[in-house]
Amino acid sequence: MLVLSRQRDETIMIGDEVELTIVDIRGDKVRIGIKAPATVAVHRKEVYDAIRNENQQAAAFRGELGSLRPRGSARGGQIQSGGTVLPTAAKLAATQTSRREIA
Amino acid sequence: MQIQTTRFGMVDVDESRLLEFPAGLLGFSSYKTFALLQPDENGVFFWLQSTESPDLAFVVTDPALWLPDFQANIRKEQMEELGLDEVSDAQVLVIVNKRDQSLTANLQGPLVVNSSNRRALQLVLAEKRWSTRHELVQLGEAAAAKTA
Repeated sequence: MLVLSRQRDETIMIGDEVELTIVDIRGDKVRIGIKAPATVAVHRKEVYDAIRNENQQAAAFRGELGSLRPRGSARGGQIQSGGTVLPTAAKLAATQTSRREIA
Repeated sequence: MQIQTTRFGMVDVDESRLLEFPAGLLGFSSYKTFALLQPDENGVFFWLQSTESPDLAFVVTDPALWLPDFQANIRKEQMEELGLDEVSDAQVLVIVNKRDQSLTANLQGPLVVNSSNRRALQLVLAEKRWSTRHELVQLGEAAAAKTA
């Protein structure tokens, strides 16, 4: 791992488009400002890892529940895909800010 | 088309109904195409089955059935990735997991599907309000509800 020393308000460039700025340093907490193209996903690693781990465990779910088995599929039977356009009612909202500072 | 699955054998899927995840799911970035299988007409769980790996499938559900106030936020760039003009054109699903005797849902990493072109992605929500292991139901209850 490359390790660089930086002071407050100093910046690191990663490639041509990603900038990391040390915004504030207090005790053992550092606030970092990130400027990156919208196409670059920026996440706190623990959140990213939690979701990835959850995906991996969910993929191992065999669905022992009878109610989870597709009907008529006990032994290679034919089942049809349901409508991919599900009538889900869950709400989705567009956020106004395109990128927030990650504290 | 026929797809081979480990759990259900050969499954017949209408190609016009496949979902495309251009970036894959977190931890599964090389699998891009999935079919949504509906176990029964009144069921609340679905299988998201990879067309590329017979063994790869996730149980998914509509979070609103369990949490009426659940809301996922999507950024403008993510809407563009999906070719999504209006949030009302999208469907939201969450992946279900089994933990001990509970079914849990990953609310922090919901799946968003553009209903018109069936392009999809997994969001990573910054809000700490939604956990990756939200309990939906105890398995005992699920069995009781099924026989009721």
